[in-house]
Amino acid sequence: MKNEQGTILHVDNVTMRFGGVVAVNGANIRLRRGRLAGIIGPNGAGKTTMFNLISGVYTPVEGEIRFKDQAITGKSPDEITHLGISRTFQNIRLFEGLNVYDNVKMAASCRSEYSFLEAILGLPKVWKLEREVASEVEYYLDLVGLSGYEKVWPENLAYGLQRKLEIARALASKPELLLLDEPAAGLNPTEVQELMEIIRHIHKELDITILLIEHHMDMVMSICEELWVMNFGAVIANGDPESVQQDPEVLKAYLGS
Amino acid sequence: MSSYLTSVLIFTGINLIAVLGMFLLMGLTGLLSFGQVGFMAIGAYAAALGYTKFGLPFGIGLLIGIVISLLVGLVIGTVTLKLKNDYFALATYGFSEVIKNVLIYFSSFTGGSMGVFGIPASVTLPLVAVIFLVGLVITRNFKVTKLGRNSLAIRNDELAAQVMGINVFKHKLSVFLLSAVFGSVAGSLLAFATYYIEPNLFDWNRSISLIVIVFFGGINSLTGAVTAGLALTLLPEVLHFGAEWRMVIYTFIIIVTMIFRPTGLFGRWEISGRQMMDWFRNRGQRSAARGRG
Ligand SMILES: Nc1ncnc2c1ncn2[C@@H]1O[C@H](COP(=O)(O)OP(=O)(O)O)[C@@H](O)[C@H]1O
Ligand SMILES: [Mg+2]
Repeated sequence: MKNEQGTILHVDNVTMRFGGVVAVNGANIRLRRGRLAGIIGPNGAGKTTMFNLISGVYTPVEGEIRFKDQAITGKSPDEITHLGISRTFQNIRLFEGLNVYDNVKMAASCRSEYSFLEAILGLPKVWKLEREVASEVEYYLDLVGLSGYEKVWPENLAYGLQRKLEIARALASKPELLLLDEPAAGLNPTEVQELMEIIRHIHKELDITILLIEHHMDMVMSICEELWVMNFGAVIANGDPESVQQDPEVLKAYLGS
Repeated sequence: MSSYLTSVLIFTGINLIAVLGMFLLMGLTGLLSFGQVGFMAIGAYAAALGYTKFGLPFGIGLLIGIVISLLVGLVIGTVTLKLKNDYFALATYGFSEVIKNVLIYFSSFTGGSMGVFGIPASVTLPLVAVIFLVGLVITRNFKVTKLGRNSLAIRNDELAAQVMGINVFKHKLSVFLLSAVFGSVAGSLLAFATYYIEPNLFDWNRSISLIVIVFFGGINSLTGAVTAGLALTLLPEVLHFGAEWRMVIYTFIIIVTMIFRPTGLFGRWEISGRQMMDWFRNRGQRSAARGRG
């Protein structure tokens, strides 16, 4: 039975320092399975660092991170991806040596069950699995509205489309938890609206948990079911968007009083 | 076919096999290695000494060379592939120099700088051609499956590649070992294509020539690497360039490529079966149309 109410991600008292900078300071997050949730906070609050910790890019100096009740602290990013967490980057990091299609296929085929030896020998099994992956790629490209761009090089895509491609690539590794780092950054208002629709649609259609970072309050308020607010590395508030918006600590952080 | 031409083609084919290994490593994966010649030396000496010391046939010597290259590659790769790519390049240079010096030092077994005499030059052009074609198919399979995508992703952005689920170290090690096998096989063939090998045959500028070929032909294009391999091995032979001019010409090629065609001569272009079919079909249609008109 699927436990809708279960907690998929535990971040327990996690701290991260870079030299003298405390980027994340004793932060706690309990994210329920199936949520579409957000982390907000001013620039430099430690949001991206939080994603880097969850996805294994950094190992916290203190605290523990658990995914599906399994400790992932200290695991490498690729191990964590195979466990079911995938992410995008605040400053887009697409593979420029691969076209749009292969960017997504690369992520999708990471789970393909064929070995190095089977691949170079070109066994029939390899081509069969490659064909299966190909149809998945089309599905994810379609999901973000990138059908028809298969042969384009990512650096030649408009900025908004690059953001969508990163989402498609992240989805192709079949995550149970998707982390989106400022997916709306650099988009115009129409594109933001469209992106919000896509994120809502993905959330419903794929039935996954989504945690996104945004510092645009309006976007977060309208699509997130739950929010964490970070400031100076600490989580200063947590709750549904309405209550968070009225939290005095949050008002102080945002208005800088 | 004249015996001169046959021997030129044999050496070109052997060089192309080594090029394939360099294409996988440096072209697709972005790992600059000066160590390919070290694996060629291992393959050459395994086959040559296997024959002269133990009377082993070529095939067995070739296999022994592969096994030794894999073991050595495993050690070298494990130690160096966690380093930054620049240090990896330096370390592979050190490795090939060490191999050369080991061959010189243990002279009672290896013949030292005198080299190994009395190898039967039994490698034929068809054998080289078949092994090259097998290597070509392997390289092509590598490029079009997830192995190729993973390599390109790593070359482009190692962190993003890892975040997208690639075990970067394991993948690099696998590619390094595969390229070591290509080097070793090329070396074994080289030994049995001549009567005599010596350590200086495996000088580091042999690695450089492989690097130049892959760089010139296009790091993304197998077609380009093979074409450049053919051209840059055959041309000096045909034009009778001395070895002393080769480095000058290579340097010139690198500079001109960097200025006018930084993605290499062939860029990302690959010849494909379908393209060729289309071309022939169109031609057929055109001539049919001419026939009617
Ligand atoms: N790799 C790093 N090295 C040094 N300092 C870092 C590093 N990553 C983040 N920081 C610092 O940590 C703090 C939080 O950064 P970040 O997590 O990017 O904030 P946000 O995403 O909320 O804007 C900032 O002061 C930033 O300069
Ligand atoms: Mg950030």
